[in-house]
Amino acid sequence: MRTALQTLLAIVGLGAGSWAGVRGAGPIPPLGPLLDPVNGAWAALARTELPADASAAIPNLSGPVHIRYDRRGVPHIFAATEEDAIRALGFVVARDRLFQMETQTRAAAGRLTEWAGTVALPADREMRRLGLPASAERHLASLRADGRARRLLDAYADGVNAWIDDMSPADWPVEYRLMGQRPAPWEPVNTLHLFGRMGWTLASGGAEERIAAAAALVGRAAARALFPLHAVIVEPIQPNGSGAPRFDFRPLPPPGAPDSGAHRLAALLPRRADRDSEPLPGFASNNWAVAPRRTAAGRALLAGDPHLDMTLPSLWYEAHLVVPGVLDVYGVTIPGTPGIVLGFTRDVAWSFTNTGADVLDFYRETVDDPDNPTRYQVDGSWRPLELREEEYVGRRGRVIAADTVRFTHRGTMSRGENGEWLSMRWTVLDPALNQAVFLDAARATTAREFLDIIAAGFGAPAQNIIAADRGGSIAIRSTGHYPIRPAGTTGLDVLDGSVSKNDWLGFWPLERYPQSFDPPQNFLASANQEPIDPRVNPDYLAADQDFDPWRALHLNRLLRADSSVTPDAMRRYQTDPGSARADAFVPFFLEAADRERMQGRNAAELDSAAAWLEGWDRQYTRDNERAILFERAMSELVQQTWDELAPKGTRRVATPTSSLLLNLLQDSASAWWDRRSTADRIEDRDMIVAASLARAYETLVEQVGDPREGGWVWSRVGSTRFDHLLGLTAFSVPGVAVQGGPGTLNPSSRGGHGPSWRMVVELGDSVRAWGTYPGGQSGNPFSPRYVDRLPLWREGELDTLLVPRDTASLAPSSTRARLRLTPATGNGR
Amino acid sequence: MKATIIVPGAILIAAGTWIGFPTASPVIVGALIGVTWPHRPAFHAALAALAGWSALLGLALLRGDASGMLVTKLAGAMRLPSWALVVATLAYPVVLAASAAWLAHFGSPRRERHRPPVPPEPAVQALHRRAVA
Repeated sequence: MRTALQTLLAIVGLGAGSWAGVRGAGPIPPLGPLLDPVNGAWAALARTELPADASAAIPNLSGPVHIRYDRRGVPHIFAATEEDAIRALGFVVARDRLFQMETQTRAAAGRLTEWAGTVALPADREMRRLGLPASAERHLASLRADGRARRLLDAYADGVNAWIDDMSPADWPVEYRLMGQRPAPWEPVNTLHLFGRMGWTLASGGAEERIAAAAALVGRAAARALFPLHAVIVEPIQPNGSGAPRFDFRPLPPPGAPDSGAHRLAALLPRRADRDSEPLPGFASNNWAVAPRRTAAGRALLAGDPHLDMTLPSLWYEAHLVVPGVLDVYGVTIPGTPGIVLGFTRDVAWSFTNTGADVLDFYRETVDDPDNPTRYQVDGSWRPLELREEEYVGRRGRVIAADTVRFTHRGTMSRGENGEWLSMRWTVLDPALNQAVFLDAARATTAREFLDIIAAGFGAPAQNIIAADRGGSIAIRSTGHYPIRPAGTTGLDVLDGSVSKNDWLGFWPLERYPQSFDPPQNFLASANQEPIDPRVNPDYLAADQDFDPWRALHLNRLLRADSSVTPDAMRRYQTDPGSARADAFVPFFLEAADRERMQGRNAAELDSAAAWLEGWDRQYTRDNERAILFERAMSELVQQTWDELAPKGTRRVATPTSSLLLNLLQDSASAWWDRRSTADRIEDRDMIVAASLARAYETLVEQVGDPREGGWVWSRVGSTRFDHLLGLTAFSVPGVAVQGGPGTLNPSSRGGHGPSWRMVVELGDSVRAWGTYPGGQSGNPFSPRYVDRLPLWREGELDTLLVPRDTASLAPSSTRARLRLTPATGNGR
Repeated sequence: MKATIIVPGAILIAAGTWIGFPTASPVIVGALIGVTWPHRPAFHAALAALAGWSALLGLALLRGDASGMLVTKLAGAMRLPSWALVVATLAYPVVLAASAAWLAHFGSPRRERHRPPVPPEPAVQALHRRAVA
């Protein structure tokens, strides 16, 4: 009996152990490769640092490439040709960030199900139904095999694949082990997938959806007023010469009757899974440049800090490419792309902010069969739909779902909740980006030349590109393809797709782009505000409706006040705790409290709250104890004011910007102040504003305690987090308290968005530069280089960037590791 | 406990794992021990696997700057406490090797040869004597 039991146990142990060891079980990856102390997850602990001296062979390399890693882990790549430099870039980026490259590519290509199974199906479907993977494939097919863009993509793939081939299983990033996967070969199309994904992040609009949702509740006229075509506070990127912001406030029409047509439209429009009805407080970018006349050293200065998702590993990877006589460019690259996206040369520096232009329009299509359309109607005749079968493959290689994605001549077509079909025209789906453009632009010697080269090869997502040069010029241009729409339409209309006259007529010519070169004010600044004054050019372009002008106002104020700017001042501005938003709103709270007091309606909470807020210096420093009250009061004010946009018991369908709220504050008796939930009385502005302040104080006391007890510090709120790409808590960093808040140049948030790269560059006889990003160069969570930059970033400090001209220029004391790449025998994979 | 079987077994398991067979090597070596080692083969195979992977794990920790914090991080990624990850890592080859050894031993013809002599039953002895007479 005992022997039988032991035998049974042995059978179970061997069977289950072998099965789990080789195939895994459910979400558990194969245990053998995972727990293996030599080649499994444990191996990642032994590979935390770069080897001091290493070499490798890359196919198609024309000669040796010498790479020196400096103390900050930045590879300085010295190559004989540009393509060799790109091969080396692919190799070194893959060496540090392979898992990130593959994960982000899979996300962009809609192929996450192959790793995660059905749980990833909604995300994959979204990508494929948008047509992004199809667009990348079409773009690749359109490239000439011997053309420069294709050769660069191939060269980059050579480098990445050389690293993949060079790796032993012990070198695989630990995440592959945890997921039971292995690295896949890198394809040139992957780079195009990544750019498509970036376009989706930065240029996927949303204005139509917001307006339709609002109109369904408060009528079309009111909705249009709440989400206007142009900003109500004007201090544009292209200076308008006024030297101050202009407030184009206008009375808002009262909330009207619900619009049933808009309700149907709202059900038809696709809704992005990751979009909230709230503006994203931390999703913002800044860049600015100062001409020599306003700098202390008489040299042009440039600063940039693009605000994007802050993940671990970081979105960016820092690198320096040197090809003598051809290229000498330093900056950050997106892992998976062959070039430096933001950075500087010895002649020019540049940075981007998002324009947020509306480059996505929708069309209602007439189809032959609503349940299974194969044709659509244009000008009375039927055209065939292009059909693309999409299959989603699961972890075991089986097809787990299939879709047919349909394309009209405009773009992809999708079915709304109400059964109607809608197609979209979107610049991101055009092959609008020449892969060589960043390398071409890095050869420019002046700011204007830089912007012209970029404009010739960069269509989407539209970016406000600022540049400064060694000669002292500064320039900015909102670069991208902006559609020319049929007369009488804006991008906010959903048009009839059955007539071709509603199609786009082309794109704006370069001279119409918002732009400025060496303006008399001697500085330029962009912070996602409306690029051009509508009085200068009233054509609809749209700045992203999520972005308020507060950062632009504050930045311009700082720059106007300083006529002798230093690089250190540029650095300090990036985390300046001041807020034009607080300056605009605090007086309304204090005055409302005063007036309520005079009316005899003040409660004890209101008096305490007003006294506490009055003592605020309007700075979002980490230890500030009053900013938290203001922010809570603002949230209350938004909630109480826009109650018309929240159907009973649900969330707001859309939220107007805070500049629109400031517009409304000018009208003390607007119907918008009246709360629908209190039918027996009519509220006015002061009642709502004062009640919001009192309520904020009350809830804070309840939740945090008396303010004098010291618990109201801003760092409780003003913190951000850095999530690992897989969301693994052990590899993430939560709760990093930062200086800054909503409306400041460093808007902190709990959402994991923020300044993904900070840079300051001084251009003169020699270039000096400083920079950092949150995270580190290594993608290995066990490496000291995984989050080594985070403390500096948190403090708003920058590292000095080393820019050696050749290998000998980097002192041994500044060298962390060396890598030599040589041509591989044979010719590639 | 016999070092003559545990040490070579541990070396073979470690070598097999090193060259990329983390599941197969404990199974094969365990089976070999089961077939060749008459006395408590499962126990000895388990010890060999434990020794082999302990050595490899120790080496992995020594090669890197693997502080306890990093082990905690790795275990955290698998939603395990550190000690559980170490136990799971070492238990994995132990279970495989011991199970394989037991089954191999049970099914091996040599198992019969190594069975200790048993005195015959009295009735059988009587029959035997009668047959001889």
